[in-house]
Amino acid sequence: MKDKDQALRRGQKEKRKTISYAKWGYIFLIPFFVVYIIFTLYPQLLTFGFSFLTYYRKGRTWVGPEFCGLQNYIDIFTPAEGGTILVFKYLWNTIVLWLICAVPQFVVSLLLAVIFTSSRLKIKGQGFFKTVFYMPNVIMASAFGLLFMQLFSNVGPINSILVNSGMLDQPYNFLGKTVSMRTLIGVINYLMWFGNTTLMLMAGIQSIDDSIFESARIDGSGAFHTFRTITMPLLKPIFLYVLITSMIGGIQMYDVPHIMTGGNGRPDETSFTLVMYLGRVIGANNYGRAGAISVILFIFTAILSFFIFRSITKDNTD
Amino acid sequence: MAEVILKDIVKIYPYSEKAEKKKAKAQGSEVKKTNLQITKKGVVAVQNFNLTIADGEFLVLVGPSGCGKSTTLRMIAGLEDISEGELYINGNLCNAVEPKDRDIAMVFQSYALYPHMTVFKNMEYPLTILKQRIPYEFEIEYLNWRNDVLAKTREKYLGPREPSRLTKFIYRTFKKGKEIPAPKNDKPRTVPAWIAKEEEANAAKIAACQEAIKNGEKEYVAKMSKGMREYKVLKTAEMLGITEYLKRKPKALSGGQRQRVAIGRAIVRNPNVLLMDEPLSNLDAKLRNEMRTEIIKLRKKISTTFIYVTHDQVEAMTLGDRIVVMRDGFIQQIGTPQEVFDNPRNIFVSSFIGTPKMNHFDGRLEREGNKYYAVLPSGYKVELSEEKCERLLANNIESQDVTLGVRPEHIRFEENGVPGIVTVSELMGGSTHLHVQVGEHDVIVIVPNNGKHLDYSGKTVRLGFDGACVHAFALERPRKNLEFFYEDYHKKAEEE
Amino acid sequence: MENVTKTMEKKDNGNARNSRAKLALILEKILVYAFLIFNVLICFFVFYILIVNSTMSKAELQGVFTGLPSTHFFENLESALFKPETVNILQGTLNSFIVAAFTAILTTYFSALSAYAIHAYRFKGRKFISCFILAIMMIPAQVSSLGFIRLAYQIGATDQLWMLIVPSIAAPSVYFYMLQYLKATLPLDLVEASRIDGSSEFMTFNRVVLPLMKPALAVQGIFSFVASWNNLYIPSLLLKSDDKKTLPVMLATLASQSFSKADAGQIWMVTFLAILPIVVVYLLLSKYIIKGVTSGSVKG
Repeated sequence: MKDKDQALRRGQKEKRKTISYAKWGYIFLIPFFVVYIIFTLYPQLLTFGFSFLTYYRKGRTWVGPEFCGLQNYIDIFTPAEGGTILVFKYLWNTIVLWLICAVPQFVVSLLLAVIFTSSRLKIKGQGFFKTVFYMPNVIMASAFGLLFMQLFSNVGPINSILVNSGMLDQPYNFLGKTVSMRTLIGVINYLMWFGNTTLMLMAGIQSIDDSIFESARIDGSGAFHTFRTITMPLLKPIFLYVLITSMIGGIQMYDVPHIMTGGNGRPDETSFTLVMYLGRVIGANNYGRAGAISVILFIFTAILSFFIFRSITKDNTD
Repeated sequence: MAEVILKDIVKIYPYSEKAEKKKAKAQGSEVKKTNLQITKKGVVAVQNFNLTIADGEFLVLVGPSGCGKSTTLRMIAGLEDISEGELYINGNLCNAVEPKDRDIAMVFQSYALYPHMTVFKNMEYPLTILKQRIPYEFEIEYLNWRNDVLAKTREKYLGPREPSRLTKFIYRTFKKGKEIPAPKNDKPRTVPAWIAKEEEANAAKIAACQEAIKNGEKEYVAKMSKGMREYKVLKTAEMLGITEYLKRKPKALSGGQRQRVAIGRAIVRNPNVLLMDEPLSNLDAKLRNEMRTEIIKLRKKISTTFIYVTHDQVEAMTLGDRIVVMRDGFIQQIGTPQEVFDNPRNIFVSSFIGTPKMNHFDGRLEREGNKYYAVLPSGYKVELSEEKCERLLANNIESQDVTLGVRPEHIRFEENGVPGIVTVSELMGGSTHLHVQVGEHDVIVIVPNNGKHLDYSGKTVRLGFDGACVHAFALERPRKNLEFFYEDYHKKAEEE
Repeated sequence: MENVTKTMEKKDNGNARNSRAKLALILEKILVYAFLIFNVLICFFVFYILIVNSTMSKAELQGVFTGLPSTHFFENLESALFKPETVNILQGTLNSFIVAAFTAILTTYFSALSAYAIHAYRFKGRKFISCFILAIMMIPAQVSSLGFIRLAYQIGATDQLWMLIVPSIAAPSVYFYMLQYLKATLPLDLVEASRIDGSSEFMTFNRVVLPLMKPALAVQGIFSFVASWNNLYIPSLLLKSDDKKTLPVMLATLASQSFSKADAGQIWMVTFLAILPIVVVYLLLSKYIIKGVTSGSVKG
């Protein structure tokens, strides 16, 4: 009888021990979840809730909050004077700005990644090049924006060179024309991200076993043929990952166009992105409208994130 | 098949001590110690390498890791530059020739299969890029096979219609269980014209080939057509027993299957020289034994020069026509497995080849007139065999202190032999391995036991050996076998 | 003999082919290096102009562009630092530093703690929580920005720096990185050994696990510092008074004002000073930063 008691007690003690360690798992997660709930979840719920309310500031008084169903969403998709649906225009702006940055970025990054990892070319000083190429990534977009605004202003250095060397009669209004403004924004984003993309693609190529390239070389595959039949297919997963991450970043584009256009996407709101729209509406204290825009932004991002999630989990199961 | 000649090959890697120390610091490890020579130019990974590999020979480069065997193989392949010396493949100087133009194929230790391609595509890949030598006989074979395929296709067209792929897909996914109905099309079927056309063309081609053979031509060089590639891959897959895996990707295969695919990809081009870099190292022991026999069988089926690198001396002994033992960049001995086993040229080879290792102990070589004796400190004296005495005489060897070597298989119980105490008695099945303490040395003796397992532990035994089984190794470096003292491995190789 | 002459002929061919191939390779290399240097120049050109123009006075800047530095560096420096009416760069730098430094510390510590909780303990709902945090990672901050500002109003934290710092405790992407790192490097036996030695769970984490995670902490610390320093969107919505603004917000305000108000040379100088700290940090730590970029993401 005594033995049984002892064993029971021991068993209970042991059971307590394992549970007590598990409780530490919960305890250590408390800070994360407390902060998350207060500072992220609650705001998310608020935002979502606001999207269904009419709630804005008119002068000194507040209108609302009043439940209005999907009215905010309908308002957003209603064409303004002139017939354009603003949210689509801004979405289009965002897409164009992203394309101007992304297409050269991926072409150049791919090229650079292949160059740096080529055992034939054996490029020296890679550390130096990588440091220089990645540096723009750590510079704040505001600084770039300010810099480029001054560089390309009508009295700035670029125009000064162009006019004084005789190439142009008058300064070119870089900041006032749609094409040039969008290009400049694209260039800044390109500079900021091509280093990062290059490094990621390089890592992808380096993860391919060397002996595969050697085997291809023995089989007679030249540089271009190897790239087409071996490097690119094996690089596809990482390339897609970087591409979609870039898209998600692109949808959220705010910093550079905001600075360059003084916050209003001039000229003619052609560089007004979705998040700039959101920022302006929040600044105008129109909570209802802002909520709806946030939700729409979320849906766009969620679709893209879903594809990333799928590609990550697919890799895990391989 | 091709002859490969290596003349005075040297490989030097640039080496800077500072760079090595920096690298080691970054990884948190110490600088690796290497026995390789470090000259002003750098680390000498391979030197004084002279070898002639005959047409169709299976040559094995064997040695401990870091001895330079893989480096030599890669130089033959063209993946490494040759620092000095000349490499001839099939009579052509190939130092500066690209790997693809050397007509070689290589099986890598890691198999290097293209992970995103099916087995079929992996094996087809080499055939899609370069022109191949196509024997006319092979083309006739292929055309006949093609005609068979066409005949089967013709039969399909003469038989009943099959439901379309779309219908099959719909029924398989949505209406599982229900039978797929026959197509309603009642029109009479015709055999498409292209079948007949191709059969005609094939017949003409066969005739042309037979003409060419009659004229004495053996083969022509061209890029293989899709059909021919398919046929070649199928045939190779059949030979290696991997036909059922053709549609799979490498990651769905086991180690042994991947290995076969790697071999298949290499031999699909009928290369002149087939290089294999430790292909069995990544397999477990049982698979390794299986694949070893597979390689021996493969060798009988295709006639190519094989150059095989391994660190496992058992593989070397069982597979090679000749083996080259290497160490620290130098050739130690070149010879047939039997020769290397019976007459090791230096003490390193004697202990590297053979399991269990050869027993080495101190002793003395006594010369009395024209006869030589092996003398142990305990007084045990054996007269060496005639062959050995001849060789020692020819090299003018005098009496001296030496290290004597006798293989465990050659030690036997002798009444007047050297006494020793058995410390460990290992029952190995058909034989017993005894570890005997003789003086300061631990000697291993293999005793056949005819199935009767006797435990000798603790017993005192008397050991002896025959004068034909003992080797005398000089005490000074490079510790050569005194019977071959003045032989220069490097020169001799060239004369062979 | 026949063989010898044949090999002699082939030898010449080999040499010719060899030198042609070598020439082609050299040309290719020259092209490649030219391309690389071209890219470097583009990156540098921008900063060169920045530095050069910081040395010029307002008058010089309105004149012809020469590309050569001038002598007004210290004038501009003085006016940038000590004339806070237009832009108070020192205050901005201080604000940015406070926010970035505390963010880096808090986010790395608590992400490590959370990752450790998931990795080392088995408890009910563990898998669900882990997936949940991963899912949160996909929601960008802008989506909750409206609610965030509203919350700030409700608790009276608008225009407060700590409102930017505290949320960094819950950073799913940093957590994910830490978790991967732990999975790859921390054997749980270590934790059990520490328990047997009598240390409490919290002590185990602080004394045993954290030191082992130093590389990961360093990498994520740097990245979160830089990200926080450069962050514009949320701070611009939250911080309104001049003495609370961080550098990016200040520069944004500067950009939206008309230029005639501020001395142009001062503006260039301000831009220069704003990015200087980060560039210095980057150049000192560039090796680790570049290694860290790819360390968490590529599966080998």
